[in-house]
Amino acid sequence: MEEQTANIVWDGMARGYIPPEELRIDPKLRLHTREAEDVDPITYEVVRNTLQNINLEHGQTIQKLSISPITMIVRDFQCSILTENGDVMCLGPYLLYLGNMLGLITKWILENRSGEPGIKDGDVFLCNDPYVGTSHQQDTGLTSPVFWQGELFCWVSNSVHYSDVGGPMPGSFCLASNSIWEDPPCFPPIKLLERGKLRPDVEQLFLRQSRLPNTVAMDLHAAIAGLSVARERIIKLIERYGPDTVKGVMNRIIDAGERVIEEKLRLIPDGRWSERVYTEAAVPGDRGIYTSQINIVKEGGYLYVDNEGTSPQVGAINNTYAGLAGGTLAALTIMLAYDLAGVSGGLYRRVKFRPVPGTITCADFPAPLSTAGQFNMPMVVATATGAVAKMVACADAPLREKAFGMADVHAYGGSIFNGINQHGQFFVGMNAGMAVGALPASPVRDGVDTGGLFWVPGMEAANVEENELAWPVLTLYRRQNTAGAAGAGRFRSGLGAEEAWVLHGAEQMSMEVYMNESFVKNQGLLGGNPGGRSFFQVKKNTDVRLCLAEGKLPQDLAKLAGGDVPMYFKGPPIALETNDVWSSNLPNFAGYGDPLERDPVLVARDVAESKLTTADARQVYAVIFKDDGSVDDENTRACRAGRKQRRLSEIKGGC
Amino acid sequence: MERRQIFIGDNLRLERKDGEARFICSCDRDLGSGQVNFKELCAVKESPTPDIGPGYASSDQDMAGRMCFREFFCPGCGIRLATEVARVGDPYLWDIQLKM
Repeated sequence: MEEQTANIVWDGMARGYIPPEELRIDPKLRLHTREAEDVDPITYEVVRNTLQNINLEHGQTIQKLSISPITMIVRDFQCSILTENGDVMCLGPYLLYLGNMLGLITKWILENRSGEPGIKDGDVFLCNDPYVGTSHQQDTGLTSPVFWQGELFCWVSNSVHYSDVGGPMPGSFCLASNSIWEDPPCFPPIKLLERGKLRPDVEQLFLRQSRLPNTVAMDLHAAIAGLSVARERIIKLIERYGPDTVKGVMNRIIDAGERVIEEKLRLIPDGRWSERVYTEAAVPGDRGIYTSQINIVKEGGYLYVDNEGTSPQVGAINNTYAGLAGGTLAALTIMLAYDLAGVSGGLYRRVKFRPVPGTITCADFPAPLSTAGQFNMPMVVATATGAVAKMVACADAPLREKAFGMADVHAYGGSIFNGINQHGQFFVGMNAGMAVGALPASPVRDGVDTGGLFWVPGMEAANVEENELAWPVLTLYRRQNTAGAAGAGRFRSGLGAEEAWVLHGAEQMSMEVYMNESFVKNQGLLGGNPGGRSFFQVKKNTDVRLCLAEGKLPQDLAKLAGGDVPMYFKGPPIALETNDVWSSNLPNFAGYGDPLERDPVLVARDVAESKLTTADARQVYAVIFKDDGSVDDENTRACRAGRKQRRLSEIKGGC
Repeated sequence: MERRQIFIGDNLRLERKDGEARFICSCDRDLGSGQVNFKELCAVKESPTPDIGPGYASSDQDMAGRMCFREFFCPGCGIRLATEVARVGDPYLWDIQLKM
């Protein structure tokens, strides 16, 4: 592996950008590096909390001023404060894997723009180039230096998912791309604002690519406003406490975070942990199966991460180094830095990457990348989660309890569609209703039913009414899954959800991106069942209008008249018409441990709450109930013992 | 830190016995050497993924048929120590290698 990486230039052009230990910054750019070392504890806490609140206000500003549901409601964005040399100090409670990417973009700018055209007070750089440091082109980053008396003091940055940034597919997820030239355009860092003034030429260049220039413009200005708020607040903080004190606190925050991570690493034995996840269909119609693998070596006080075992880059299922690092750090943040309130910089110092280039999780130019947000990034997070969870499950208490299973492998069963809406205007919709999510199982407790997605802690699913306001649709139902075999274990996964829609106020629209998995991709944790299969179904020419006219709200796709459309994981766009109904399901995620070890009391609770049938309780958990509904302990013990014996005798018998 | 025992979840541990690391089940069955993939020391059942249960059925039998579900049981007590969804024919993932 080291031979593979020895002579590779990770420059953000031919390959993903990996910053060197020492950045090559033009000496004419003066960095503020002085720090006070004797900050008293009260001042430290005041400044520390203020910095974190500034970052939160940055995020809230984006959320309040943006108009795209994906940003305004779902919170598919991230914001950060970084040190003068681009080290991430803190993240917002948003999309975790974007945090590291903001650091990569900023470091690349320091190395490649500090000479010409230079980095000046009031500048804002725009970048959506995944080879430099974004997950895909839609997640466009803005980063802005904060100057104090002529010295670059720190950076404020954000990344927002823009609804359409060009390319051949509405929404910019180009499923059939085989190269970057069939994708939306990539912009390496370019000044969107220069010395505080918006450059209309650059803004127009960016907006001109989009099918939704007005929407993207509003979201872009929301992102600029977020930077402005954060910059102003930091300047006020410096004015009040002095630059050396604020810088001293920033550095101590990262140092303290690093010490917390060091302490946790001491609880983990040295070793190597791996996870392997399978995906499919590099482009629509492709019948290939591909692997994503992440291996983590823990040696003393450091973690070394590689992706050896991953398939070579292919079709439109790729991400760059930024995605590999960001997705892995997201999983590590949740299981090792859960108590650092978003201060992840200390963790980042303790993780070293040894990526294998030319793979689907660390692709080289000119691999296309626009679909990464929907397909690859959740897959990288899932793969990393599996490896990190096994590592943490081997730790001493209490850290071992923080392990938890894998969540969605492909973004929360989301779908992307477009057409003419009820107001006669072109729209692109991203259904993130399935962002209701579910939290997977852990070694000490069940996951949380419809408990969100752990890799986007602040994410919220749109309300049904918000979807109906934004797009020409009517929701027939949105409901929680049941707790059958999917995600079963000694502790079971939280339950996912399903919803079904019909057109309303429009006669047709086109479903461009959907996911109907051919096979389950999730992996169970240490004996647990894997999560279920994510599916998407379309029924054409149904009697749904008749049902609605009769005052009936259909609650089961299978009971509607009409014809099922043969579905693949990825297929061509589907034309949806007035009488068609479609549903998507976010399955339950990973279970933990052998289902036959589950406390029968917990099984009974699920039955009492109508989350589990007595038949499934017997089939999956071997729990027997008496006629009065209570657990039959004696028969349950006997049933479980017999089941375990049968497992072995069947294998010996050749099964 | 010198470790004599490392727990891997609830039912498996790596333990130093007579100077050698061994995988031991919670039923105290000695599975074998800690230098190999513990999955190789288990009783293994491989079945089609749709057989896991109702939530796993697929409308694409050809693709689903190329994958399998593996269950790794303690050969002593039958408890399930690990599972994996894998492409048919792919080696067991050696996912836990501990230094003791």
